[in-house]
Formats: sequence, C-alpha cells, structure tokens
Amino acid sequence: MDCSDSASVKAKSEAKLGVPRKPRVLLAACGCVAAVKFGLLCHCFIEWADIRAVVTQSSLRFIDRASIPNGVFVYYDEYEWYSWKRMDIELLEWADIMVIAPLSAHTLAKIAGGYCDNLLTGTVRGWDPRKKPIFVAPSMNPFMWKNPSTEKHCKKCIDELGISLIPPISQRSGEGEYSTGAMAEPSDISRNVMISYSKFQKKNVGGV
Amino acid sequence: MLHVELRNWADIMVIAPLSTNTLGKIALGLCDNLLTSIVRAWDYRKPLFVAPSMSTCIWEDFFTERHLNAIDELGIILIRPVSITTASGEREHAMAEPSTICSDGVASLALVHLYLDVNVDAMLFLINTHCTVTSLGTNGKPVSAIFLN
Repeated sequence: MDCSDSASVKAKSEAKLGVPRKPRVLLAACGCVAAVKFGLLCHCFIEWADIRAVVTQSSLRFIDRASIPNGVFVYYDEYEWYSWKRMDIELLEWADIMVIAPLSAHTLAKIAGGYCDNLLTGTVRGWDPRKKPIFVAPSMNPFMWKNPSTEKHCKKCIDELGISLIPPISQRSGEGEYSTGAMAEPSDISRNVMISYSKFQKKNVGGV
Repeated sequence: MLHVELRNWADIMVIAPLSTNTLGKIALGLCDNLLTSIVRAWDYRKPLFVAPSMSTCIWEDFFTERHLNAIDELGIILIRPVSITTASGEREHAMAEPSTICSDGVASLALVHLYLDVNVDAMLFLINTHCTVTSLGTNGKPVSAIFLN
C-alpha cells in the first residue's frame, strides 16, 4: 500500500469517528531559485495542516529533499499515472487548499494559458477555486515582474480563474537598489493562507 | 543570470528566423529557454525585431494571427516574411532577406525616435556571417545587439 492509500484510509476512519481533521494543503513548487525555501515552507504549513507536495522537474535543481519534513509525500511528474490512477485527480480530491510557492514566470504563463503538461499544471487545470481556494506566490527577477506579460497573466489568474495572489516582496539587490520580484517569506505565506482559509470556510458555512 | 545580463547589455534584439513555436511562446509569455527568457524580461523601450519563417498554411492560420496581435501589443516589431514557392512546389513564408531585416531595423529605429549611431554595413556583415552576439558602434558611441538564430 502506498503512502496516499494509507493516508486516505486514515482519513476515512477519522471521518467515521467524527474527529475534526486538519486542513489538507497541497504545496507546489516551480523551478526558480526561491524553491530553495520550499523545505522551510513545508515546515511552516505542517504546524497547522496536513500537507502533500507537488514539484516540477526543474524545481528539483533547487529543492533539498532532506529539508522537507518526514512524512510529507512528494509527488514528481513520474507520478502522473501512479499505480494506474490519475494522480492529478487524486490530489484534487484530497486537497482542501492548493498553494504554489514559488510560482515561476513560465508556470504563471502556463496557468493563464490553460496549459497542463505536467502534474502541477494538470492539477491546477482541474481545480475549482469557487469550491477550494488556490494561492500563488510568484517569484521572478524584477524585469520579468515589471514586464507587461506578467500583468496580463496575473489579471487573467485573479479575475477570471479566481486564484489568490500573494504578491512578491521588495528586496535589496547587489547594487543597493530595491526591486520587487522575490517570493514572500514562507512564514508570511503560511499565515496569509491560514487566515484566508478560515475566512473562506466561514463564508461558505454562512452561505449554506 | 545570463538572460538578465544579456537583456541589460543589449540595445536592440533581433530574432531571425522566428519559428511558429517560439512565436507562440513569446505571445503567451512562456520562458523555458534562454531566448524566451530574454524576451520575457525585455525592456520594451528598446526595440525588439522578429523575422518569422514558416509554411504558408501555418502563416495563414488563426493562431498565428492571434499570436501576431499579441506580440504587436507587447511592442515587438514584425519584419514580414516573403512568400516563395519551394522546388517541390510548396508555398512557404520564408524569412525576409538579411539586408531587408537590417534596413527595416534601421528604419524602425528612426520611427520609434530612438537615436542610435549604427554602422549599417557592420550590422549587415554580422547578420550574414551568423554572428550570435556582437557589439556594434561608430564614433565612439557603442551600440549592442543580440542576433539569435
């Protein structure tokens, strides 16, 4: 029995007993330098949520597997058809929240254009933000962040797809200038998602 | 990062030939290689020229029209391909002649009110010899250009 099967069995038994479960967060990482903080991000979320991770092929250059907490199952693109299951569908059904941090300029463009050529983008393509929130924390160099394409893609993601944006922060460059584009701090992302999710739940319960 | 270094270094960028696939990537903002990453970070106060090359059926396709509109919105300058018939009788929209690309580039520079003291002969020579990255300049005024093909 693989990790995802045992997790779902445990979840079902808890549901029968009426045990209130932690929110299930699907954390995802794209291939940019900020992915070195992905382990830290996992540690921030594991304090209040059950987490699973999805990583793109190019993000593996930056992620230290040892930095990811024990017990967190990490899905790669090879898992897309894992034991004859569509893994993106499995993850869609499992998760309550999805957080893509860092989100690269390339994956931002893919999401805005509806591409689904890997496990991460396939999961996003099937996600319904009206039912479950999805958050993105972009990370790119300041020139890319200021480029007109970024504004167009962010507008598409926020206005049309209903994705919540955790904006990048301003950082001091080597030349001493401040410029925006760096991923928000992992602790801030975690806090932001936790607060937003509790509001989302209250709104949905109130609306029923 | 190399794409940022090249983006900062260049005053002009010329992509010749531009394939259908890369046209689509630029139009949609994808940046999965060095070339598309430079374009994605490009400062559109500096001119960016593209000279597409593709088969006629693709050139006349709905998606190509949509992608050309998108790059036009970004401020990319299109150097139109020329319609030719190949030896096998197929119609192609081939890349414009290097001399045309060069003269269009210089003319467009004047149109966008960007004063650059460019040595046209040097540009022509560099395109014709397929030089990848080069620095141009006359009268002590350096001008940088990237030719990616």
